[in-house]
Amino acid sequence: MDAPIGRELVVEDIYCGYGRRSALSNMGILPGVRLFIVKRGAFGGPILVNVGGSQVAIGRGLAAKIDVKVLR
Amino acid sequence: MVIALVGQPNCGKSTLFNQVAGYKSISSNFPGTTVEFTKSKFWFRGQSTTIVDLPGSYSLSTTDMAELETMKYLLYEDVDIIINVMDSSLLSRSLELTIELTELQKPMIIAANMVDEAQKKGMSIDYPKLQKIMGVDVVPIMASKGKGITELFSRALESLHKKQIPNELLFSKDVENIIQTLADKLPETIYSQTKIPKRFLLLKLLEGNPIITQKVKELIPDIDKRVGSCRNKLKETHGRSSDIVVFSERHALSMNIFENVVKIGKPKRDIRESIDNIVMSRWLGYPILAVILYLFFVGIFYVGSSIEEPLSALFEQWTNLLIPLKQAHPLLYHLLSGVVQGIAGGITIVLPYLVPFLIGLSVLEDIGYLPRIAFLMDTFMHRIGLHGKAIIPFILGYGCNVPAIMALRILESPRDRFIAGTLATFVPCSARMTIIFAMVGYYMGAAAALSIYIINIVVIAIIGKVMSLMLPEITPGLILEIPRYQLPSWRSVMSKSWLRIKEFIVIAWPIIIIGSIILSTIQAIGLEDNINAMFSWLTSGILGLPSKVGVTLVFGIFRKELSMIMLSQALGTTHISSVLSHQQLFVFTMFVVFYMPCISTMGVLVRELNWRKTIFIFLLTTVVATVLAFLSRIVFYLT
Repeated sequence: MDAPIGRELVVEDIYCGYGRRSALSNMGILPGVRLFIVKRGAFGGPILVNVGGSQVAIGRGLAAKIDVKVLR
Repeated sequence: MVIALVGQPNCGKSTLFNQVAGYKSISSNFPGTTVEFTKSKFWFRGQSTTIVDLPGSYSLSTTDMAELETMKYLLYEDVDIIINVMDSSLLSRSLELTIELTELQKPMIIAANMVDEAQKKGMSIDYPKLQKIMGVDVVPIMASKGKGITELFSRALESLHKKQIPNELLFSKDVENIIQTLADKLPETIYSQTKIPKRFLLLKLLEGNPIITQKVKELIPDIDKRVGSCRNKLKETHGRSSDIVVFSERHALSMNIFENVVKIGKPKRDIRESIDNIVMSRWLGYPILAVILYLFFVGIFYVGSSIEEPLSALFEQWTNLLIPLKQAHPLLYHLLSGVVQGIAGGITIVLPYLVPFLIGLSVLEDIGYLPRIAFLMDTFMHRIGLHGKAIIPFILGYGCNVPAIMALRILESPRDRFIAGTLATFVPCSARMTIIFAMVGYYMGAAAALSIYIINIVVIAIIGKVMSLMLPEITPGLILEIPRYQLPSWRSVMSKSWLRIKEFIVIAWPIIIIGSIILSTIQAIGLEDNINAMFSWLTSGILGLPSKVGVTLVFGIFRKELSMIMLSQALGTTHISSVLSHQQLFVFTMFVVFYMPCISTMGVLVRELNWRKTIFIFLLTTVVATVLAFLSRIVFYLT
């Protein structure tokens, strides 16, 4: 997820195992869902995304396994 | 009547529970802190009612221990009615859990909490319409202000009498067809045999939930084959794995309901967002964290030491009153002075530091700062092979290692729990904090006390690095909701601190008093010397301390505070600096801070990890403590 901050994104695919996948879906992060990146933590820290009005921190390594597309 | 409260983390479930049960559940602004459920009984409309606060769960997909606990309770325990608490301001996500709960087909009622937050966001929710769609009552409440709670419970009672079961909400047609195909492949008896409701069981099998699949396998050994074709069909038609298809169906349903019942207006500007921009910013985030933690500890030290001094003087006078007894009734004198020392130890040494610490922690917790710390620290925790959530056991560990070890449950993998658990036992808990403050801090100054904390953090980081190199499994990675800030309510902060202080008063304090009576008796009958001689190779040999401290270190295993409280008793004076040099004070404190966790901590370690890992931790801490204390002796000798 090296997508630009603040732009509306849509999740294309998620490449991880059942455990993390369902944990992400718990947060409402699923293919087809729209979200945007609020900020990236310093020193390779997690990214903070806004999905459906709630803020979720996702570790950098895990975030790399989420494919997104910039809308428009 | 048994009522189960089910809801996502931070939806205000524990707050609601406390409103009814009178503050027995620890609520906090951190997802997943209530992993164990709390029960309470109360009388409602002349009926004895049991209310169970189940751990906050985003779903019932059993990705963490909280969700597993909740699912097990709902399936196998006796629950008459479910109260689904939801955060109205996060309605669409909350509905995903609600939809999963409808699959259980049990009597249910929805408590739409935080209606004020939803209004602030500009949402206007049509509750009657929501009620019609879900087929169960929806009651808007504000748990933190105690609004709507009586109404909620009386409607729950009504719903129970009417046996109000939620509507079965249907997915898209092709998915429903596959659910039906799977149902046809299973015997109708399976639902009663496993005690799992039909739709819930079918969906969990399609999701590939390992726990439910295992359960069914015990009765139908070839279940994988039967489900496999259905899962493949889903995969073929949707181009994604079957679990994602099921999750997406629930998500789509909840979005659909959301759009049906919510009108979005203009949100009020939320100052909390601007605060977050600063608190979590790349550059200011860390200095702010450092300042907050610094103020936190300095505040405790300041409050604690200004209370400790006058109190110690008072108790010193009282102990002196006993001296005339010494000649006439030596045994009585020893017993009485043991009692006085024990009581004095609790009041003068522990409480002055413990009370401000617990209040401060409750405030940080309720505001919601802890998940921000997890966000900021994630990258550093990765360097020791863990992720951001693992910072929480450490922070709680500064209060007491027991809740810290229990908080390991928020971590996903057993390896992470082992590493974080080992490291958390090194964190100086408030008992050890009182020793650091009251000995090194009091006699050698705040800088010396701070240096122990810094050495401690460095040592934890080194051990963490070594352990993560030895157990080179990749940590699952952080997924953590960062909840809104909440203004802490005095009632909640005070009652939460009180709950924790009460634990000290009823559990720890009696042990301290009994311990000091035993020590007095041992002194009176002259056994003390034998124990001290047994450990003199360590105490005077390696550490260069008077061998009299041996017995205090043994007692410290029961409660860490005992080491210090008994030190004055063992050395025969409260002016410890008149007997111990600065070097000895420092070496003693170093050893006490690092050596083996107290008995209660070892108890939870066995429960949460296992025997072997606990013995490993026991040995590791003792070796590390001895090495560090010896090194500091050398450093003092050289300087």
